[in-house]
Amino acid sequence: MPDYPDISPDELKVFLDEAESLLESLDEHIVRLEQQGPDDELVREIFRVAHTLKGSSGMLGFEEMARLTHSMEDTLDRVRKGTLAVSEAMIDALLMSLDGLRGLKDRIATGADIPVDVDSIIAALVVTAEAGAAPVTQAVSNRTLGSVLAADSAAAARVLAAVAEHRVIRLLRAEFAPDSEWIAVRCLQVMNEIESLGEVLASSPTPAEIDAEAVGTAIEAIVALNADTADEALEATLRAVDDVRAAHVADVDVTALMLAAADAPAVPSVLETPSGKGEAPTSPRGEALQSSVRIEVTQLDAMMNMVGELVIDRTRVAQLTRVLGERFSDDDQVRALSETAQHIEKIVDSLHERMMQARMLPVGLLFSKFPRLVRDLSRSLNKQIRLELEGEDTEIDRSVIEQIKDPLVHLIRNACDHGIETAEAREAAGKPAQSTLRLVARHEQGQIVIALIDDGRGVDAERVRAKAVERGLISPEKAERLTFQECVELIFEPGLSTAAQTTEVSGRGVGMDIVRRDIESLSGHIEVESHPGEGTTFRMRLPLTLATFRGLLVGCGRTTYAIPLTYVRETLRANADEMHMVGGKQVMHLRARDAVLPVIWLDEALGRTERSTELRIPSYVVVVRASDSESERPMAVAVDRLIDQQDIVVKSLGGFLGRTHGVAGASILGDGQVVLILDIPTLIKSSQQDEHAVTEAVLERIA
Amino acid sequence: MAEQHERQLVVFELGNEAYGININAVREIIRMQAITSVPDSPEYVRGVINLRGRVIPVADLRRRFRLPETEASADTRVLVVDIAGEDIGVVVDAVTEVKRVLNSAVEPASTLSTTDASYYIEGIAKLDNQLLILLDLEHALRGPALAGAAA
Repeated sequence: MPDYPDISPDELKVFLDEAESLLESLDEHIVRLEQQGPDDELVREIFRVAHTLKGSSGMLGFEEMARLTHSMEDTLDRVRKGTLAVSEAMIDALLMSLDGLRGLKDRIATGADIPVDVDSIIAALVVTAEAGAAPVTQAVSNRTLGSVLAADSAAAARVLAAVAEHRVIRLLRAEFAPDSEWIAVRCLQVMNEIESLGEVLASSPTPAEIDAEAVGTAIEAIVALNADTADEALEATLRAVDDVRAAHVADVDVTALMLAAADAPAVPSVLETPSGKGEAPTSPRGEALQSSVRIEVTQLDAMMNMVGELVIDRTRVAQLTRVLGERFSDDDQVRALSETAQHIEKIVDSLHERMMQARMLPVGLLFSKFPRLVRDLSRSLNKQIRLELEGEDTEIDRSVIEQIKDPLVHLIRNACDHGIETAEAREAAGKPAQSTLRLVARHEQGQIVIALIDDGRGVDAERVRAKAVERGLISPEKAERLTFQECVELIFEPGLSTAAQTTEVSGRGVGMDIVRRDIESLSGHIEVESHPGEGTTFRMRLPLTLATFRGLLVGCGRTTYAIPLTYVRETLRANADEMHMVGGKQVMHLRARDAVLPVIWLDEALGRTERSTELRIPSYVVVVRASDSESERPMAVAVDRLIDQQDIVVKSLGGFLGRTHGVAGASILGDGQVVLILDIPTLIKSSQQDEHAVTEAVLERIA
Repeated sequence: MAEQHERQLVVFELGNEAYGININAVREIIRMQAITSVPDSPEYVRGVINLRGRVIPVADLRRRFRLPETEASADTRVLVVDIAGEDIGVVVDAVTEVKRVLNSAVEPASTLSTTDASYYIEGIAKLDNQLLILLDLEHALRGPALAGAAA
């Protein structure tokens, strides 16, 4: 970080961290502003954020940043006051300002020569403000005047009287240069000019407000003219006043005005101070922020590692003290040790839980970047796409959050680029021109499920099938027998791209295999569901945390394996009369549930031994299931020993081993033994595919 | 800084040959311990071990060089090396010494025959009473399947 003579490194760091957080906030809010339209609360919030940023950058002497935020503030203030409508161009200018601010911040942080043309950005803001003010919708100005009329029944009566007398009534509006220091004075001058033209029926700001210098950057008045002066002449008169940058004259829709007056809360004129000194409402978050601290992620990770080790040791200590306790049940020292050990166990558990909590972040932090992404994408692709977020406060471990960002971005890009049709195509198909993309997060049985749902054209299964054959990924015969779902799932195969043309946005759409690989390397899973013409859904299941989980330790032959408890439905003693061989494969008939489950032997499933066609009776079976959704079928894992249920600390296997089928990672037990963690969903899937193959084999024989 | 005209090597034995790898690549040398096999891993990877709380994969150069398998002896060691940022264990028959070798005593691989072997050999060091094969570990562990051991 470069040196700033008057600023301590700590101060600088705090400023930069805060700035980043404010900029992210602005990004999110501005995009929401575009989608939802002007919402008082939202605009006030955006104003507050920009104001805070202006303050802190100004205080440290970062003049350009302060200047740019001031300009944004101005624009926002007028929106806040209702004298400026939110337009597409304005949103663009605001976002451009945001990018400029980011560039400035990066320049401050790294000292790199990042060019940011602050002046031209400010000019853009001003221009959109001008353009936005010109055709000031009657509704907007009526609202301001409306509230005046609501407060002042005399004024309302005057307007009605003037209408009844068929007088020429005009709405006059003058806008001042925002940096003028004499706005109150100018308002007075404008009022004088107007009074020479006719009778002022109502004005905003009111004369009382002008006296108190409670003015904004514009003044509006409803005037009953003395003579039928042309609008241009009226405008010229207004513009003759110093500091008046723009003047407009328009018709008064009295009905609308009166309705607005009826609607407007009869608030006495709010003596707001001029923009720049606006009051920032304290948000409840503001207080909460004071009581939190910032901590380096590396610190947090280091602590997490240590706690992970503690958890392993705590299990070991529990085992040892149990053994000792049994062996020396009369010894006082041993008893004391047992008690202390128990206490330690409790504390370690608490610590572990809090550590996990500390690492949890709401997934919304990640999601917040996406509305902007979708907005930019829909612009550059010339499509109308709206992103809806759900479940933003679902919490997930920060390590997982970091890692799913890229896959999610890729999926979103893909959906926008390939999945969603142009507005014309959609309308031709009887769909609304605007497409809705939904990103949903929720907890489900110890996992977090993130789904991306689009209402686009769906996956063209036939095209995928053809491409797969063309690329030599599967044989034509095999291709023909694939079901619709299997064809859709082919998109995850490397080397497959069905984009007719490559687009700049998402490349060749070949990233799906990388997406799956990334998700699986997190011990997660991704599934796809598609309906032609209706849309596609990608569903990712991820562990809540990568660090630890509760697992069932089982023994198979001489090897110990760990099965994440989240997949375990039950454990049973195996009965010989429940085991059968069907088509060369072993199945189990669970009489109590009248269900038939495939039985897998881990040695075979993991490729260590050849598949046996003989019936073998294990000691126990562990019934597992990938999830509780209807489409998921349970499976029985044959084991020799049920060892223990305990907290398992997950250790990655690293990249050197490549993709290991059926193994999700490794763990170290209290006694130092390395056990493999089973990847249950993959094992289930393989066994189902085998079934499919068996069924095929059987069908072939019949044919 | 003076030009490096020598290098420091960890010398180990495999089969009947003596090999050397740059000391900078070796993180530590540990005794042989229980290896947990991992299904579906490359053939020359024996499995994973617990290295003070970390799980690291262990490769077997004997398998890699198609040497006959032998039982581990008291001399068997595992070299923990840094390959592309990841710690990998390599099982060797014995670790003999750490030796300084002059660069001038090293015959680079390019002058040797162009068999598969040259892919994972950096060169041959001619010492007083032996030849030391300088191993390119990264290639030795990550390259495609090899046809035969160094001649």
